[in-house]
Amino acid sequence: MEVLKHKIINCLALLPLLVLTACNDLYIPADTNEHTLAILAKCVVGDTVFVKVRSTISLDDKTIQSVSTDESTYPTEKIYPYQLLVNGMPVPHDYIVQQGDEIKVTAHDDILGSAYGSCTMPKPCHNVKADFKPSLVMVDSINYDGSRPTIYSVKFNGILTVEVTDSPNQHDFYSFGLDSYVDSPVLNDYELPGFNFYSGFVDLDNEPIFGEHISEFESAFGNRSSNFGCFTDRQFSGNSYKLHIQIENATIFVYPYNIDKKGKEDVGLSINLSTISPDTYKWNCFLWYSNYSLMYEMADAGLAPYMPAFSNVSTGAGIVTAYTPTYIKISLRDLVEEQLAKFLKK
Amino acid sequence: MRLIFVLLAVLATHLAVTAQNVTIHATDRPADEVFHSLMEQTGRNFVYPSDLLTDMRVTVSATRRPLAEVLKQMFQNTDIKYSLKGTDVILKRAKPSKADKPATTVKADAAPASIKTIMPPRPDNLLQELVVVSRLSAPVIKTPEIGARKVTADDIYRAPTLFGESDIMKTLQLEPGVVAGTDGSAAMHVHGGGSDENLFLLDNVPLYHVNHVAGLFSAFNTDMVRYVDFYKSSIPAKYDGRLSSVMDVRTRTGIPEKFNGSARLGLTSGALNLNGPIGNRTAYSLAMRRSWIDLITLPISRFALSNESEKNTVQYFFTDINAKLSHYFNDRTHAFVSMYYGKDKIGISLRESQSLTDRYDESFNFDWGNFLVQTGVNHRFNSRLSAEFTGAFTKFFSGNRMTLDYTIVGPELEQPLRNFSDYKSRNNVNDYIVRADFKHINSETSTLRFGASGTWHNFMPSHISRRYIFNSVNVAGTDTTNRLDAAEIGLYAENEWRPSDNIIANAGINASTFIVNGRAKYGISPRLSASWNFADNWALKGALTRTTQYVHMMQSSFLALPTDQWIPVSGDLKPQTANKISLALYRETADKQYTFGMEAYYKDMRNILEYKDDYYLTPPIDMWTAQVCAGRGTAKGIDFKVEKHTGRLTGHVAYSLGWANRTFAEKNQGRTYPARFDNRHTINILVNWNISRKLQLNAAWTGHTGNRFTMSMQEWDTSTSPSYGGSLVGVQAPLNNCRLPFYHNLDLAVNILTKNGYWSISIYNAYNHRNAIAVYKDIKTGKFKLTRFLPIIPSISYTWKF
Repeated sequence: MEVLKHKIINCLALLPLLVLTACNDLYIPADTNEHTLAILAKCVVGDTVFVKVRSTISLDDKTIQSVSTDESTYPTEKIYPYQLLVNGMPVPHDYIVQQGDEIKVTAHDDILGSAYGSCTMPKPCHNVKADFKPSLVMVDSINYDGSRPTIYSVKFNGILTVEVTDSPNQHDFYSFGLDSYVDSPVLNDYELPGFNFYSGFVDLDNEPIFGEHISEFESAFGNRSSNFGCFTDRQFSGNSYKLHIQIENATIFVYPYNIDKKGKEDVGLSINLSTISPDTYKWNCFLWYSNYSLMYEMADAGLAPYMPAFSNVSTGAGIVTAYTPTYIKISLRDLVEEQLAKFLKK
Repeated sequence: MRLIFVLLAVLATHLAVTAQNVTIHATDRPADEVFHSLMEQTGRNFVYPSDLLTDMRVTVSATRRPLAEVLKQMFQNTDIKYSLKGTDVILKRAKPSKADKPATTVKADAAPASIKTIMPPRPDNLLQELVVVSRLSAPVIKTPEIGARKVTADDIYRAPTLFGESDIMKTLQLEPGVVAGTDGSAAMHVHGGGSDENLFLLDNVPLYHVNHVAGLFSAFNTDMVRYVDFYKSSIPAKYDGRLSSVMDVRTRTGIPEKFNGSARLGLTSGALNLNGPIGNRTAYSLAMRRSWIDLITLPISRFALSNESEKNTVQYFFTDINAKLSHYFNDRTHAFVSMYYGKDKIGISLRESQSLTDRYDESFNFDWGNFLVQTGVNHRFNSRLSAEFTGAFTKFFSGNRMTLDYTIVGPELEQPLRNFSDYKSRNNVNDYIVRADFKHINSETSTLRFGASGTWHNFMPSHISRRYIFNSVNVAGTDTTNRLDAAEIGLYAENEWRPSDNIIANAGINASTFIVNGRAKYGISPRLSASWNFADNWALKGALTRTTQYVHMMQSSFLALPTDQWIPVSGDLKPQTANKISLALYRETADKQYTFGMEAYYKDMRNILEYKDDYYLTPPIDMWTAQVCAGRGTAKGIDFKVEKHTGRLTGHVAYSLGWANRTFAEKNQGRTYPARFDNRHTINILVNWNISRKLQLNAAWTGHTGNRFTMSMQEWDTSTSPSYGGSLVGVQAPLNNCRLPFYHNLDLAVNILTKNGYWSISIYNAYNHRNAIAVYKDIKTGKFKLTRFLPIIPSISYTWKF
């Protein structure tokens, strides 16, 4: 009897240990079902405000795994009404954003509750200068066995220089964007433009300011800006800074039979240098870190804290971004004509 | 160098050792008080069972007499015998003569008197508890400090080990109010503070990085430790520079009788320890450790991959070396020179031969650690005034080097094309330190301590060099260095005063200035602590403590990694400060067997620094001040501890109830949030059971509420349209809104004494509960999973004594 008593006591003593050690590798949060409204809004000076208001998704919403591209069945595409306020006053959804506007997007749903996010449109960049120096220009002709008219390709590399002058006494954030443009006079549906421009590979990695948010340690592991075109004035506050952008394998296709049918056509590079709100910069940093950083990789392996998301929406879901763009165009028509003339002379 | 030490050690064994001279005059004073004085003069420890000298008072008068003669005088007409062993003075009760022997056998655990038969696994196989006389040598009810603990080498050896390595940090982690933070880590989070808020001193000189193996082991080699004074609530005015705690590690000193040492071989590491006299006034100590697992794995991996096109190797090791040379000029002056070097290194090499002609080599090397060299002089000017002068250089270093070498040798190429890149990065802190500490005994009831220190900090957050060869053409490399110099000057004074037999108080102030980039920052840190013995064996204590911290560690991962950077408070940032109020109640049983303690605290930390966003492994170094924000932290709680000091079964049970919060204007929308190590309940149980003369069992169980972390419960779709297929982003959740599961861990150790040493068999995580250290999202399933860490780890080591 005494032995049995001891055994029972020992078993009872071991019970807490068994209870404590019986655990599963799966982590189940206490509550995942508090859906809220998420606001995605992009405010660009000179344009209407783009807004999407959706419901958030729970971790156990399986439907997201087999998502449909049909908007009507897409689980997060349910349209929720929103209101746009500019400087505290309601405005219609087609309001054109002005510089200095304080824009607030609010949304409400009886089940999901309310959400709001706001931004202030920053002052534009002033005195932006841009220059493009082409190199390794090669012209070639393309003739499809005489069945179609000959077209020409002008392939080139080059360095684009953009000088940014920072406003003194304020902390500014910038975003750089580059695109190609073909300005054609109005053509009807059956007419094609005289140029087609593929801007090739735009290398932002070699411009160090785009990597100012990346530590040397990260860069040693090969992390680059990876098309991250945002930067701050921390390194040139109140002064000017020259961005150097390398362009490789840009190609302009020339269709001689289409050129200037209804007026002078133009082709070239379109630079968009925007001032952005601090939250827009943070959001872009968050996207970069959550896609490329070592912290992300370590967190993904469970060796670092789970990376908290960034949001400037009251529910913590969504982002309201602000861009005040300054556009600069660099025409490359002269370059194309000059190189094409040289080619045809040969 | 090593050969020289060995040679000296061998020679030293042939040298006769004469006793050191001491001067002491005491009439009817407590024995431990007299030992304190003798220890300061000789550097020796006094080793005796706790009950041996209970309430014993001694009378002794000697001027520059040999220690042995003084001891003889002290213990004449008593049954206490002394002997000198190594650097220890061992006291024992004389064995009763046969005529006195009782007819019946007394059980070993029947009375405290049987302690002398107990075997603690000290390296020198002493069978008694070690009672060294440090500042905290008096019983807890006799000192004014709250939350202070003296840890002896014995205490450290008694705590269970990981991979067979005893560790001071692991021992202190069993104290109430202290948590390791992460499973297996040697880091400390004291009363809700960060891991960089603890001041680690090695013989009075700070060490910045105190971990090996990402925090699994501490940098302190137990073989060299004499004692450790640990303060977590009331901190004497002498110490400042960190907010939460002070760990003052003192290494071995004194002149051993003869050459002695030990060699330890464990499953993953080995250690060698040598001590000996050089003449009758000089002594040396040398301790070395090295993990050696790489010595086996590296050749094996090379052999295994000898026929493969890919040859990948991984090498890791840590090592540390402590060396100390002490010289006693006379009974009033003692000087020493010491050195510490500790290093961790990870090397990863990837070698691939894609064809007979192409070759691809890539290597990553990381190393980090500390180097410290110092000299100190202890001098007694007269019977009232003594001083300790220190000059030191301490360096924290971490670096990484990555090389990529790719050569193409194709038949179509006229000559091989070589592409090569070499990236080197270093992060150092160099401190040049001078300090003087004085102690003046004003009267029998009043002792004044004062001193000054000056430190020249040289921070090099980054030195980066890059070198490239592209298609066999040298490309211009870069070489950039960021440096920041700072001067730190500190003054302190404190007075310990005993106005009556029942009251003892300590009041002091530490004033400091930190000059960086031409801007001076100031810190005034007043300290006050008092104890009132309102009844026999009871003490009520109160303390007010303010601490100031000028340097902080930028750390994102919870592992101790070489990416951690120490950076000074510069620019507009203010020094970090903490104000702490503590109240405590202690009770000691009449037979001195048990102590009960209850300590309550409230800590208010200002200007503490954190990353604004938690994305960085290391900050972009040019703009690191822009990446941090200053805020406030609070911690409050109550610690309970019951400790059994004597008998076959000793140990303690500790429980802590605590809260720790953070508030940053730029984080969590300005709202207060719980700290990562806001562990509500913590239980620590330590049991040391002396089963027999040759067998000891140690067990330590720790359980605490899980660490906090941030997790988004919901996600939102960033796509502007379904056809663009955006990505899902977590909803910004309140910071540290979730908890990891309850942490609990049982460690066991058995020490078996042999004729020439002892075996130490330990089991870390005895019931194989792999604690969770983080939560991650499984991309495939979209579910969150726990990252579990250390499984059961048995280890064995043997220590050979000579």
